[in-house]
Amino acid sequence: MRNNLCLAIAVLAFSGCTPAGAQDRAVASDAGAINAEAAAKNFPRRGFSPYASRNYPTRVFWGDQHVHTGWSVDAGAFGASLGPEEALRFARGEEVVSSLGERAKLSRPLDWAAVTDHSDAAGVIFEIRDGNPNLMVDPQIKKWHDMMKSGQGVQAASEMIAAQSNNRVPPAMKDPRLAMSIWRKNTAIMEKYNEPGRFTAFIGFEWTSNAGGGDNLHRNVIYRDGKDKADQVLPMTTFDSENPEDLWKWMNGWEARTGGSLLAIPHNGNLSNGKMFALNTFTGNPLTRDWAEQRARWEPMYEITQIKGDGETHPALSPMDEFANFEKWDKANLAGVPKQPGMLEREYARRALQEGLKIEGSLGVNPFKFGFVGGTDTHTGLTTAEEDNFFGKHTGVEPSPKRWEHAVIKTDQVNIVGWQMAAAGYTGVWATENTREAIWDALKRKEAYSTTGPRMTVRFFGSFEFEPADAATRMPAEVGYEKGVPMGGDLRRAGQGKSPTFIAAAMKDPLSGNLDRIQIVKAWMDPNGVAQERVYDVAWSGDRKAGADGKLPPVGDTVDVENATWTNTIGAPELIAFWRDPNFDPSLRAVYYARVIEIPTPRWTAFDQKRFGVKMAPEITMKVQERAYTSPIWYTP
Amino acid sequence: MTRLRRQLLAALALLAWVPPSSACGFEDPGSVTAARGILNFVYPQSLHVISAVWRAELDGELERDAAPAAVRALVGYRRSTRALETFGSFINNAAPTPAPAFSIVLLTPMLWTRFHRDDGAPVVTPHVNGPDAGDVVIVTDESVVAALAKGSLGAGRALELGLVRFYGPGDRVREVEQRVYELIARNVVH
Repeated sequence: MRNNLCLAIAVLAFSGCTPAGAQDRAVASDAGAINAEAAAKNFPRRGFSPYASRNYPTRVFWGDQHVHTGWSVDAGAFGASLGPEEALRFARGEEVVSSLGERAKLSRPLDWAAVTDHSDAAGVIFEIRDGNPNLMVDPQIKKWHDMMKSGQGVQAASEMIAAQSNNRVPPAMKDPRLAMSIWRKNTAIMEKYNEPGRFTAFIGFEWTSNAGGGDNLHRNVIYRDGKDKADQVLPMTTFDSENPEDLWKWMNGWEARTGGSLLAIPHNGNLSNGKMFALNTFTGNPLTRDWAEQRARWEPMYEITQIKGDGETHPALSPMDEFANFEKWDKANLAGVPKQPGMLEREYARRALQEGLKIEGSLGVNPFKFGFVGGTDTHTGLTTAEEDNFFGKHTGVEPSPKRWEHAVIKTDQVNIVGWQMAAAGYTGVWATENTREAIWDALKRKEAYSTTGPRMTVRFFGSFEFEPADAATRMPAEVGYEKGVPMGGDLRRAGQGKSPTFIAAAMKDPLSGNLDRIQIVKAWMDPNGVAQERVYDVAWSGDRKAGADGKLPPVGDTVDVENATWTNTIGAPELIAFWRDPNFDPSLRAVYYARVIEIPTPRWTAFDQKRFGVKMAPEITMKVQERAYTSPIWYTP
Repeated sequence: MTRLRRQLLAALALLAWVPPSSACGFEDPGSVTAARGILNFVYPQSLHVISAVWRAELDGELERDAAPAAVRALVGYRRSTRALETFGSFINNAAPTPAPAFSIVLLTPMLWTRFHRDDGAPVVTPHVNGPDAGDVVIVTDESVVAALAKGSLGAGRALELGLVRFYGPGDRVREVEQRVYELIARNVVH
């Protein structure tokens, strides 16, 4: 794409300055030799079809880069019996039977998925149950296997867990050859279901660092390549290290050895107790330029929303943002250790984007220059993010009349209950085709966005040259790519009198609610180094007018909680806007992203209440305003 | 605490793991999730009973326990053990020959109860840690044994609906299953 744009500029310059009759002369440029033939090939004359010869991404490919199956130790312990194969069959639209015996199917197939089981001891317990001959040579493991077969499986499982807890795992269970054999089974399944052009199955794993005590520093590692490269090296585990810098070193080594490509996606900063976006390294040292480069290189995307809460921002950080209080898990880390003052500031994406600008000012590199993905983090093998089809975080909270009151995290100080699960989310990727390479490349360049489940189509472009008329087109991407950069892109050095302009467009998910509004979130650091932010309503449904406080009135509410339904009699099916930053200071770094808000619809709890005929406690949230977050566009002076 | 232990505990903390203990869910409902989950691994598809139960409740085939959680905790254990004793005696008395030892686990409270013989006499031991080696394992739930004991649900229907599942050595499972069918045939349970 970039090469083509360079070529375009070169060709235009060439055409404009060259006397007639001289076009056949070749001109050498960085983009290659340009002559009339090359120009015609790259920029064919526009014909009748406006869709012919487009070379930019024209489709959103929907997927989930965060799927656990029964092969993950914790998921298996909670009863997940579905493995990677069933997870992929489900993701591509097949009906499967859940671990609790319920038939399950997506409303629509996904286009891609990454099964990311925890790399620590993935699949080992199944190998013991199934009698892997390499393991059966160990008498202790053979005993556990025999116990499982003779009706003492519960005792066997308890003994195995105790052995792991006490570091008395038989050596055969830690044998890298065993881990490699399981990994190769996994990658073989991914190859089997990877169908270029139809469904993409990414090879991946989760590196599950808890920083020694439940502080979530997890990363999903996603492979661009196939089994041939993936099989050369065992995935990194937290038995090796819990330090993210070691993960980046491992990724670097993997790429050097195989010639392949990896990226890592951090998730759940809201459960990191201030560590996800800490302003020092894992070992407590000051950040360095090298550290910032590594983080920016390996972690181009961040999982902003998932079942364990939404991580865009927090009411305490964004008190003027009326949509900030959304699906919050903000009391503790994964182990139930309560938060302390100052932790929230290092956990949420919007604040991290701001801090990244500040760090770039001092170190020259922005370590928190990431785009947004949404995922489920399901531990059932079922990637469900729709409110009416939500199968829960793990098998203990798969659909049942009592799951809403099931304890999810419970300590003396913290009690997170089933109804607090968020039915989220998915990632929409703007790619040129449904292949590992195209989707991975789009993630790498951040041309992707997250939603809390609905499949809204969202475009977001930035430029110094957009005009209001550009938002009148039915093909915003045409002008978006021609005059600007897509989500994930950069605007640099505003010219005299220029301000950033944006085109934001959204179409509703046909199966979900209408759209309430599109907002553009601007975040920056002021000259005093203080984080600033402002949320602008740029397009909305109906003829609402902003009040004296600048706030748009709510869109309304058609939700019938008792019957778990709503009507699309309010809101709009599509919205598009041109917007120019009215408060632009060309000397200050800034970052912009679009947030698309749906009208209120029933939350999964309302569907459960209706379907199971239960009455939940009155304080339980029954409605949701689903949303999409585009990856940002950065402005650098 | 060793590094491995820390890591394991942290890994299990991903999903709020509660360490296994001999407590059942009547004492601490939050403590049994993992113990229940392991059943699906050891006894494949045993947790399908959970969905079968709520479907039967929604269809009116099983009575739903509408009592508040606090009440269930207070009286549930006693009520369940009484129903289990009745259900166990049905199986023990279904044939003149002694029944093989079997254990029943009720999924909601994760309450294990063992039925065996001591000097030829049937013994019921509730609240055990799990089955003994060689036991037939019956997976079901509170409302199912209550309905079976009360006679409001037939054993045949319970099997049809997947409300009861049997696991263990094939010949012993068949023997226990046969006893259930004999009970059905004799109309002791429907």
